[in-house]
Amino acid sequence: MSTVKTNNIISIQERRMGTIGAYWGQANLLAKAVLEHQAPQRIRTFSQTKLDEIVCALHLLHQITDAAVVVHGANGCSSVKHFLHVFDGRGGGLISSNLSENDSIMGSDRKLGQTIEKAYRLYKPKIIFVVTTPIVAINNDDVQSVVAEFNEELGIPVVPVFTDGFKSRIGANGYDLASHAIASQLILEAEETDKNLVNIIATTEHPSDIEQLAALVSSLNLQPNIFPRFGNLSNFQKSAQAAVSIGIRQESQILGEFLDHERGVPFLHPLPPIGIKATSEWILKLGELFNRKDESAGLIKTQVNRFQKEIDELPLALAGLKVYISGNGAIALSLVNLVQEFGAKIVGLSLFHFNQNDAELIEESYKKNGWDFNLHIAEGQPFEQVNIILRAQPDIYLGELGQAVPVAKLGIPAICYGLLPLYGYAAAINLADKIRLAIQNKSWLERLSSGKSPYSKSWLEKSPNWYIKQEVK
Amino acid sequence: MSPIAAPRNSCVLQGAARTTIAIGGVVPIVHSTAGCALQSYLAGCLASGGQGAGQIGGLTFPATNIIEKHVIFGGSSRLREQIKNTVHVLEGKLYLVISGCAPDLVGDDSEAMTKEIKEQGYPAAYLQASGFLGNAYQGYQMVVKTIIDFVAEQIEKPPGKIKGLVNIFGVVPGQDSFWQGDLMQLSQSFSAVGLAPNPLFGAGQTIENWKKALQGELNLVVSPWGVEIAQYLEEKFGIPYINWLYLPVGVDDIRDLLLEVSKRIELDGRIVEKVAHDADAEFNYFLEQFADAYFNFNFQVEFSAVGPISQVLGVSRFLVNVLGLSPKALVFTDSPPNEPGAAIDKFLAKVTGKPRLLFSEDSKEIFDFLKQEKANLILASALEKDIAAELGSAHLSISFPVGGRIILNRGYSGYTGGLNLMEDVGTAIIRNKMAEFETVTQK
Repeated sequence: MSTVKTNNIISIQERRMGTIGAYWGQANLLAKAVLEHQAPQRIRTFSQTKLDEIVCALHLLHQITDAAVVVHGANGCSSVKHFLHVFDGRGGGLISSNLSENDSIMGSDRKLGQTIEKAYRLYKPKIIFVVTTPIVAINNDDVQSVVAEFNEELGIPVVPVFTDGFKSRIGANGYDLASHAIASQLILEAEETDKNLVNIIATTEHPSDIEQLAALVSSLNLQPNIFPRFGNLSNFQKSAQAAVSIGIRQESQILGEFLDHERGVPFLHPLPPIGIKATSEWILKLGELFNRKDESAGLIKTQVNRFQKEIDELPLALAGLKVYISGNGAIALSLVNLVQEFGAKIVGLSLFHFNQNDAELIEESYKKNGWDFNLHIAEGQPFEQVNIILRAQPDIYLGELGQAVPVAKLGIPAICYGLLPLYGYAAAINLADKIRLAIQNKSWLERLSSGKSPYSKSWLEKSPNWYIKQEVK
Repeated sequence: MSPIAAPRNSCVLQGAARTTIAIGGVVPIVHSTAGCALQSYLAGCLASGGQGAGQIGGLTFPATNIIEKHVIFGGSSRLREQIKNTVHVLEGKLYLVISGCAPDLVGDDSEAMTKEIKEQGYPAAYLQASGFLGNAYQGYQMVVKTIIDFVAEQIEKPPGKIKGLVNIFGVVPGQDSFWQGDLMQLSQSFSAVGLAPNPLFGAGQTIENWKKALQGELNLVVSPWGVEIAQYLEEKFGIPYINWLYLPVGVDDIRDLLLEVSKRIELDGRIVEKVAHDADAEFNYFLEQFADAYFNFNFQVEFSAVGPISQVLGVSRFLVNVLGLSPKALVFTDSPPNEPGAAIDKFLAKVTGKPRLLFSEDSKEIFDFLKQEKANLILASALEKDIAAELGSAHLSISFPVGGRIILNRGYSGYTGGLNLMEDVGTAIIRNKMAEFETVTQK
């Protein structure tokens, strides 16, 4: 199914990919329903904060090196910039239109113009992205014509990203909106093809992971072209000439499919090179694809040799451990494979959201592993995770940024892999070693878990899906 | 209100949310679109000296995460459902409903929804905190006023005074990255002379402290962002206040402050002098030790400071009056409603070699200003690391955002604050010199 149109409108993930944001129950039932387009959208009648479109879009746009980002809203909508600045590197220029109460009543078109002008003057960018916010969406302020005017006046692309902040329940929809804006406005048709050029669609990966992929591509005598994160306007422009695009994360799909369907660059969306075996398979596949089988086999051999000692010894420490994994679709499932490779066993799984891509993978994983535990779908929502995990009693928990603390407070060893590199041999060994260390010394954990839980006893005794209801239309 | 490059003062909602989680037992319920409470965590906690979510913050934050249908048809019923369920999931002594831009624009009656749960006997209060109404400092003020009204409602007759109880206002959790240390060290300085400080936020502070606050003898305000609250408390409960406006850093400024306090409430000035004398002796002991590094690494430099008025003035006063440094440029980022010109003028009157001033939170404007002024030492935020590097200057974060370091109970106020500042400024200068040294020797 083509997910991309060249116009400015893109439907929300729920409609495009059947994405579900709330569930706790049998995995195969959900997978079947999603694949048959029959899955009802469920809602939470109690919820905790989570990602939204604006945060995700800004994360993607933050590391486009010659772009400036205009956040068209109240100042708080751009606060995440400071988090990105200190956790993700300084990134490009950002400017807020600083909407006031008056603007929210009288309209903000003029303010947007001033902001775009200032962004141009301050940062001399090659692209200006205009990220919209709820105030602008609710007031139906005219963004399109202001943007069109400045497109002409400044002679650089001024690209609107319509993140209303409430259209989709799925925060990751913001990655799609930003990707779609880039695809439809910045990737023009190419006149020629460069058969050595390989697009690496960098989205939510750790920079070292992207570096790894690029090094791998280079080692096969190919030229990597990295974007949107860590890239620039010329990377976007070159991308249509590439022989192939590789996108590992779910968030790369919009750009990958656009290049495939609209610009004739085939899109490879392989399973992530997470874990020893998956990394080897990945390198082999790449070698096959570019007729460089010998090089890739050689590469695997030297790399695996390098880590042989750890590959042999780590399973001794991890064997039989019960693991709970929380994360994003294919990444979480790859982490499953990784810990299983080291001899651990999965006792629970939470995915941020669940779409048609995930459905087959999940069904297969459940079948292959003979899992009978319920599948949990939630962006954040630690109140549900805490409830589930108290029942599952894993030996170790792996979660994304912000997820480890509520679990660790239960006295369960936890690891946050949100800021760890994950791709390749060294990353797999590093993560397995982190598990070993977390299990080995629990003194910190014991102290942390001695504090009071914010959750009521009555909640912890209820079924984890108590507040997940079918939506009444 | 013009456009701002990388604005650092956030919005009312995020300030309110961040402030709320700094009080034990208070459970915020954010009624807004999904990212609002999350951004307050990502910026106000993680990017503020790597601080944590605590009990209720971070992903634990209850939030309605409203979507399109709530914008079109109204989100009041979603809020009602969320409030009703929050009291069952999370235990709290106060449920504070905080509404943001989207529900406020479409006219949700969040107040009525809060009233409903109050009528069911749950402790609850409501705050309209549309982001577009202002910055995080205002969000702080609004939360403080809302909680004061909440505790006041519960008291039947006017409370008596608690002797020596001094409430501290104007230190803004998260938006001031050193808020915990500053409050603790201020409190220690007050305890040392036998007063009973009431910091209201941070370790061990619960709604009980807020109830007690109404029985305060005196309110102390250490930034422009508390004056309104102090005026309100004076009108309503007859509690007088001292408008100190900046953080008292080091022995001298604390002594001055406490002597002022002794004029307002019963406090023996001789005890203040005695404690200050002892603290001074200890300080001088360390000052002597500091002297070697001071001369070895030539600490006597020109500095620029960037941050809210409270921090910039407090820190600058110490650097100038105690350490003998000279101010080159001062940037005040918090633009309070009442321009505190007098305090700034008073500080400047004592300084030889007038520093240039800028009132702005625009990161690019600040960058250009610092670039022009070229000081050897830049006391600012993580956003000014680049310009410090470009100028080859030493950099120390004294204001939000702060990255690359963890701040728990470190602060620059009070007796110990002066020593902390000496350590940190000294370390920043030494690291800078050593880095310079390394670059030269490795060539």
